[in-house]
Amino acid sequence: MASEASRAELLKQRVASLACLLLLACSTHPVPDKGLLLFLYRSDVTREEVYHKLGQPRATYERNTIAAFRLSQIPAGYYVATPASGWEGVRYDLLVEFDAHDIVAGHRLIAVRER
Amino acid sequence: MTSSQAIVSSRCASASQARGTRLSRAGLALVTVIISGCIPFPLRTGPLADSRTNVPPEVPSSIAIGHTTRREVLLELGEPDGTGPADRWFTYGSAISRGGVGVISGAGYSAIYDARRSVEFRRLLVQFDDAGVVSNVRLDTKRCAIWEHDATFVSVPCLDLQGADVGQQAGAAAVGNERPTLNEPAASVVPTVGEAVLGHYTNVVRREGDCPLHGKPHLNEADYPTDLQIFPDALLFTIPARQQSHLSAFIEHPSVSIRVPLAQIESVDAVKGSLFWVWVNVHMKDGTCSSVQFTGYKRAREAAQLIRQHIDGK
Repeated sequence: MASEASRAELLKQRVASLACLLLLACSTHPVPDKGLLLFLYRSDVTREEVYHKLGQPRATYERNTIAAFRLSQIPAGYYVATPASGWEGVRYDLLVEFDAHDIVAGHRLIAVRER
Repeated sequence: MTSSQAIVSSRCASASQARGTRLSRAGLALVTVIISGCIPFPLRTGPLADSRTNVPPEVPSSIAIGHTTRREVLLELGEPDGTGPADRWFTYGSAISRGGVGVISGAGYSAIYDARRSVEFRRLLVQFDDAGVVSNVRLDTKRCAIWEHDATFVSVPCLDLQGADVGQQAGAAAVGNERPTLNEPAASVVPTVGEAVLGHYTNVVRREGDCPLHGKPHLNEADYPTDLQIFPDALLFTIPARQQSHLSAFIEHPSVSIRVPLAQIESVDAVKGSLFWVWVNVHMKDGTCSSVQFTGYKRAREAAQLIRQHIDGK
């Protein structure tokens, strides 16, 4: 009797775990990374590498020499934000400057929204 | 009982009476809320969810006309909210809620959310010359009421943070300090009436065929605010020039005014609906009607009185 009850309990737990797993599989949360921007401090970082790590910029300015990215931040690190409207959920605007050879010449992390 | 005991005892009695009064008031409020089926609550203050907050209350001293470059502006403030053709101007805008009232009311098995909040809009406009150097900079601040219905804004901000009005005026005026004031509507549509305006009301919403006598107007996403001008022989509803390009995505001819001759109006009534909803019902002689929503009962009553005076004389 007791073993039947424990078997039923075990089955319930397995079904719940499976349901959780299926739900998690559907979610697409960005992965925060504390070191997301560290690569920008290296020398000879190309535009291609920046776009590869951060995705396509939201906008470019000054004849494509400045690229803008919107970032969010949580204790686990930075992640690229995709706001539904305006600056919703955005914490920083990252501007990356490129030289004539498409090499990163500098970057600026601007706090656009208070916490 | 000594006199000091008597004083203490009487103080205790009055304190407990006051507590009782407070409790009964709170109870009464709770019962009213339950009976009416709606829950009002104060809205929090602070920046709106999709607004940036790095727009200073004054023009930053680091932005100097004739010196600061577009690149420097970008690196200081970040990506702009609005840009002109060839990046000739940038706007940086913020919208900060200064509080308001939200109401959740029951409707059958669902709940409806309405809110009226006071929002302060702040916009920094930076214009550049051909060399990409700042040629003009100004900061505008405007505060107005914004209405929400089921989490959708049903009134347009009184200051366009993307600078739709800047684009319109930049085409007509040379870049410089002599340009027209951005917050003032550019030359409004010339009314067909030749007489002086009797009353001018901004941020009203006209709804045709909707004249409720209580509750609130039937809101929908196509509602947009206009200016109402009352002339001796007509009402004129006009979308302010600064909002026309913004609304051009939703309305076919935003620059066309709606003229309602006073001779065709049968009667007008100012209605104080539930909570903060106020409007004027305009009944026409042909049996049709329309309502005009105002942001305050005093203004609605004044406008109704003004219209009534002039239709009575006809």
